Amino acid sequence: MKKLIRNSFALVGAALIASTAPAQADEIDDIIGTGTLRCGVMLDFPPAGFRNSSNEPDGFDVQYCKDMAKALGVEAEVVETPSPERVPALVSKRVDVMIASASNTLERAKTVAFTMPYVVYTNVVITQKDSDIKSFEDLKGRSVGNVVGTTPEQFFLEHFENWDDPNGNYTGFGSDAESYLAVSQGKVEAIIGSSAQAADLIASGNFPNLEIRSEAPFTVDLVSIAVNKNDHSLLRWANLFVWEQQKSGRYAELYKQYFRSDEVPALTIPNTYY
Amino acid sequence: MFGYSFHWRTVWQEIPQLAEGAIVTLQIAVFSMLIGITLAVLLAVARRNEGSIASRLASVWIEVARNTPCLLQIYLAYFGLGALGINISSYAAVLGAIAFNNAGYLAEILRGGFNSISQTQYAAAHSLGMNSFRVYSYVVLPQVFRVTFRPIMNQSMWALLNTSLGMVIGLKELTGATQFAQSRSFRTFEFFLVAAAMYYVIAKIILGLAALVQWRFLKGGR
Amino acid sequence: MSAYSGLSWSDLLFLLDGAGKTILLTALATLFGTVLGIALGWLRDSSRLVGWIVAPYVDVTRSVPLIIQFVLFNSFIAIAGYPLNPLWSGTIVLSSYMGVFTSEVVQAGLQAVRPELRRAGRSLGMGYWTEMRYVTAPLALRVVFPSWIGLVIGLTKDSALVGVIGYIELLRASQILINRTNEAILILLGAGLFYFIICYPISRYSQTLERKLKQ
Repeated sequence: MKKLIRNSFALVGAALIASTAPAQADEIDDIIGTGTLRCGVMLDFPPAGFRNSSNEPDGFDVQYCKDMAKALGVEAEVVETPSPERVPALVSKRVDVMIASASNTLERAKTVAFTMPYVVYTNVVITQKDSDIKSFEDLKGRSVGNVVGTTPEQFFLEHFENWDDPNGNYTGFGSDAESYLAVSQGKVEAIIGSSAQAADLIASGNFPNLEIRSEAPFTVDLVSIAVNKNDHSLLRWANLFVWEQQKSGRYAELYKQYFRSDEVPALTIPNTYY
Repeated sequence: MFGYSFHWRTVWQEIPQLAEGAIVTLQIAVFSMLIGITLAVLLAVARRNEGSIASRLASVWIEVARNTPCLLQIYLAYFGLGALGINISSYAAVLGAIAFNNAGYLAEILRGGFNSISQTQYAAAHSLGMNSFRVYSYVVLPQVFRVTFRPIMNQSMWALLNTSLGMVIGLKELTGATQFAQSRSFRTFEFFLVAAAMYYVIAKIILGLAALVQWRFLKGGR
Repeated sequence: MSAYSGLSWSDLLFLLDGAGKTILLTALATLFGTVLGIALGWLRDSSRLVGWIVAPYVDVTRSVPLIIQFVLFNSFIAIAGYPLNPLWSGTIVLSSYMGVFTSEVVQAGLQAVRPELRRAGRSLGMGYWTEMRYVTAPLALRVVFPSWIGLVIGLTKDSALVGVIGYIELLRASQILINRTNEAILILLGAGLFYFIICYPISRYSQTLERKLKQ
C-alpha cells in the first residue's frame, strides 16, 4: 500500500514536471496530446475545399486532412480559413497545418514552411460558347478575369505584361464564384480557372453558356501543405505522409474522386527531385 | 510573446502598387460624396411634398439604402444589373452603389436641416420675386449645409470605409491592392498595417478638403 | 462527387443559422460597445486630458475600414500568441468600433444639456452623481437615443464583414450557398430582405421616437 502511494506521488510529480516543461514536447506531441489535428482549409475553392449539399466541409483538401488525422491517430478538425486568414491562423496556432491549396513559392516560403507538393493544378481558359477566343494567345488585347491574390493570377499577369497591349485589361475578383458569374454575364471575355473546377462547374449545368477553350501554358502549379517555420518535426512527418499517400495509391484515389479525371498528374517536374 | 519576425523590406517594394490603390479609394470616396449630396438634395426636396409619387419613390430609396448592407448594394449594382444585361465596370458599380448609399443617408441628414428652417423664410424669399429654384439655392441650401456640416462629414468617413468593399467585384482599390500584395509573400500583418496607415492618411485628406469647402463656402453662421 | 448542387429547403435553415449568428454578434457588440461608449463619452466630456489621450484611438478607429481592422486585429493577436475564435475577435473589434461611435454620440448628448441646467441642479444641493442621474442623463438620453439606434442598425450590417475572418454569419452563409449553387442574385436578394426585416422596424421605431421626443 505504502509503495502504491509513493508511486502515485512520483507519477503526479513527473506529470507536474512534464506539464511545466513544454519545451520538451514538439508540435506532433501536442497534436497527439490534445487528440485533434486542426487543419486550415479554404472552403471557397472547389473541388479542393467546398461545402456539400448539406453544407458540411468537403473536398480534396478536407479528405486529405482527415487522412492525416487518421495516420496520427487523432480526430480531424476542419477550420475554415478564408484567403487573408490562412497565415494568421497558422502563426497563431489556431490551426496546426494549412491544407489550403497554397502554391509553394520561394517568396511565401520566407514566411511558412512547405512540404513536398501534395497535388498539382492545371489552369484553363474559360469563355462563353460563342466567343472567338480559341487559344491562350488569343487573350492578348482582351478583357480577362481571375481571382485576386492567387498564383494563376500572378502567372497570367506575367504574360499580360509581356503582351503590353493597350486594349487588354485584367480584373481580379474576390473569389471563384464572382469570376464565373462575370464571364457568364460577359463582364470579362474570358477567365482563367483550375481545370478541375471548370469541368465540375460546367458539368453541373449552372453555366450552360460557358466552355473550356484551352489549357493555360503556365508553369506547373504545385501546391503544398504548410506548417509553421519552426515546427521541424511536424514538417518532416508531413513530408513522409505526403509521400505515403502517393505510395499507397490514396492520392490517385482522391484525385479521381474530386478532380474528375482519370489522368492523375505526377507530383514532380521532369529531371528534378524534391 | 513575439515569436514572429517582421519583414518590412517586402512591404516597401510594393508601396507603389498600394499607392495606386489608395488613389482609386480616394477618388471613389470623394466622387461618391459629390454625387451623393446632389442626389440627396433632390431626394430630400422630393420628400417634402408628402403623398406625391416622387416623395414615395424617395422614401423607398432612402429606406433600402439605409437598411441593407452596402456590400449587397455593390454586388447588386454589378451582378444584379449584369443579370438584366446591363454591364458596367466594377469602378462604376462601386461608385454608383456607394453614391446610392450616401444619398439615402444624406437625405435623412438634410431632412433634419430643412426642418430647422422656418416657413417664413420661404415666404419672404418668394415675396422678393425669387422662383423655387432660387429660393433653394440661395436661401435654404446654404443654411441647411451649415447646420448639417458635421453629420455630412461623418457620412464621408462612412463612404471612405465602404470603398474597401469594392475588392469583392474586382476593383483594385487599397484593400484589393493589399490583398494582392499580401498573398504573394504571406506577410499579412505587415501589409494590412501599412494599409491601415494609408486609410488614416486618406481620411485626413478628405477632412482637409471638407474644411476647405467649409471655409470657402460656408463661412459665417455658427 | 460534385461540389455543385441546387438549392434545397435545408439551405434555408443554414441561412437562418447565419441570421442567428448575425444577431448574436450584433447583440454582444451592442452590449459591450454601448457600455464602453458611455464610459468613454462621459470621460471625454468631463476631462479634457482623457479626451486628449484617447483621441488617437478614436481617430484611427473611425478612419480605418472594418475589414482591415478585423484582419489586423486577428493577425496581431495571432502574432502575440493569444488566438481567439472568430466570434470573439469579431466581438472585440466590433465593440471597440461601436464604443468609439457611441462615445461621440454620448459626448454630443452631454454637451447638448445646457450648462445653466447642470449648475441649477448643483445649486439645489444635488451631488455630482445625483445631478447626473436626475438632470443631465435623462436630458442627454433624448438626444442620444435616436442616433444610438442608428448605430445599432449600422452595426447589424457591419457584422457582415466578420465573414473575412471565417465567422459564418448571414452574408457569409449566403456566399457559401452562392459558391455551391451559383444562384447569386436570388440568394442575395433573400439575404437583403433578411437584413431589411431586421433593420427596418428598428429604424421606423427610432423615427417615431424621435418625433415624440421633439414634442
